[in-house]
Amino acid sequence: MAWQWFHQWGSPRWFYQRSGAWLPWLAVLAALFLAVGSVWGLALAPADFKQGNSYRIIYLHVPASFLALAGYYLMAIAGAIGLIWKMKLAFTAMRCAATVGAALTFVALFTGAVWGKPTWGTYWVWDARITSMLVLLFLYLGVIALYQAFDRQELASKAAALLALVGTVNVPIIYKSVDWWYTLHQPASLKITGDSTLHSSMLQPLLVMIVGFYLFYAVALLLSMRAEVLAREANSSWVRALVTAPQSRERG
Amino acid sequence: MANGTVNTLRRELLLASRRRGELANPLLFFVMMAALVPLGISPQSTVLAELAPGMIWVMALLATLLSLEPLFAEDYRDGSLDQLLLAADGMAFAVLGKMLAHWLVTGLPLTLVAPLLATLLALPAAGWLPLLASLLVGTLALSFIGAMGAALTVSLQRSGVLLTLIVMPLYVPVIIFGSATVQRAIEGFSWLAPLALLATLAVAAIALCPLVVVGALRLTASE
Amino acid sequence: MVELKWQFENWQAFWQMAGHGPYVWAAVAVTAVVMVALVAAPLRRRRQLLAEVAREQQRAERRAEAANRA
Repeated sequence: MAWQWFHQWGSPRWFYQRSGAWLPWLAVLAALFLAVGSVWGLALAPADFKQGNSYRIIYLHVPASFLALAGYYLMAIAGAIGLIWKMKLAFTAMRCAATVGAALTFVALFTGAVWGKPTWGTYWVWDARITSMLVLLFLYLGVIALYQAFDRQELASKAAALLALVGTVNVPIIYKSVDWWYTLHQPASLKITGDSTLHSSMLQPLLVMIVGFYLFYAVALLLSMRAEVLAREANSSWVRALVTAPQSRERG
Repeated sequence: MANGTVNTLRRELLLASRRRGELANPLLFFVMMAALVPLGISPQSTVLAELAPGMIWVMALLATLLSLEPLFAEDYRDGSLDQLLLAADGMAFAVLGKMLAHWLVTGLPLTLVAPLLATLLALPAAGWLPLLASLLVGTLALSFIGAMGAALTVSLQRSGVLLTLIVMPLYVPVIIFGSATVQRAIEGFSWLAPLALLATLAVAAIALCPLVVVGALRLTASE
Repeated sequence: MVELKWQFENWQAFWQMAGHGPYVWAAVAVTAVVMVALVAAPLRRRRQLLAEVAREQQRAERRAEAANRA
């Protein structure tokens, strides 16, 4: 039973059909959470008494940072599944997670920088978390660059998966070492955005946004995996059937 | 099985002794870079002294990166890598020998040249011993972590830049603890903590990296 | 449950956010652009791929018809 469930994931066709059925629901949910969270966070939540309205960037920065990190682990786990069980779909997930994750890491960095200007008076501060995020972006870009350097997709997937796995061992070490480095050099004036406790009226919309970002991540990942699966399977009979049956063309 | 390590090590060192000129290149790079720092920033010794710990470490890192590409690529091209991978007694040990040899011909010489750079960049006297100790231990970590990148890119035609791109983020902890060892010593603090952390990194790298390298070489070289 | 209330007196105050508007809205804009791109790019790619497969199929059909006639 469990194995049957597992084996279904080996079939690109099954994945394409199932994900097509899930996507509308996920997309609606993601849009709902993001809309509610944005309005709540940007207009309804009270302003921070120290930072004023600039703190509202937290509603984008923190969820994006969460997913940047979680997405790296998802990518590496997908790569490991691909290496161990030789599952192509897992490699597809890994490849797509790399792009989505890198994009969200960029969002986290950008929002962090524009948040820094009104808070610290400068766009870029070598703060521990921003620095770790920058290294994370480099790790993502390394995986993407390695993948693209190979002509053969299978080899590219395996090499990138191995690099992603090496990265997961390194990510906690990098985070710890950057933390340690930061305490060594910490300028006294830069302690504004420390983990000060958020008031619940500010925390609630943040939680909504985090859920919204997770749902969005699922939508973005599934969409790009579906496109990738189509590209890989363009010559198979089930993809040709998609085109001939007008119904599935609309809905699939 | 440790025989595999010793045999490979011996063979590699023999090969290395035949192309000494090539081996000197990373060292020359290391020294030339040091000459550019005062030209680019300031010849004032107070300024240089402040920059020296980080600069020397960054340059050692770059010199190591430059030396990584041929680590497995030559054996890949002439087919001897296949034999290495077919060796019956634990290829991880054979690979370990190759990586140790790489450190002996790059990391160790870089450490030995470091006093010259310390002089050129006016490193305060308190930083000398920590610099040598941290480079000695830290270049081991650099060689072993870098070998993973060299193994992953071994079958690619022009792998140089890509190799540096994928390895550099992994070097972050090494450079942090390495330069902190020297800086703390200069500031008069105990420098054993960062050195111990650096040594932990090196030991972990020596234990784990050969396994990853074997996996990577099997993937890419066997195809 | 905290009572929710609109924090800004009018739209202009909402856009300006007491001087922090440019920063907040720049962050919102870039996030939105990246998110839209992450959704739009695979959708476009999928449409192109399906169109490509359809064209390929029509070509094959025409070839088959021509072969039948001959």
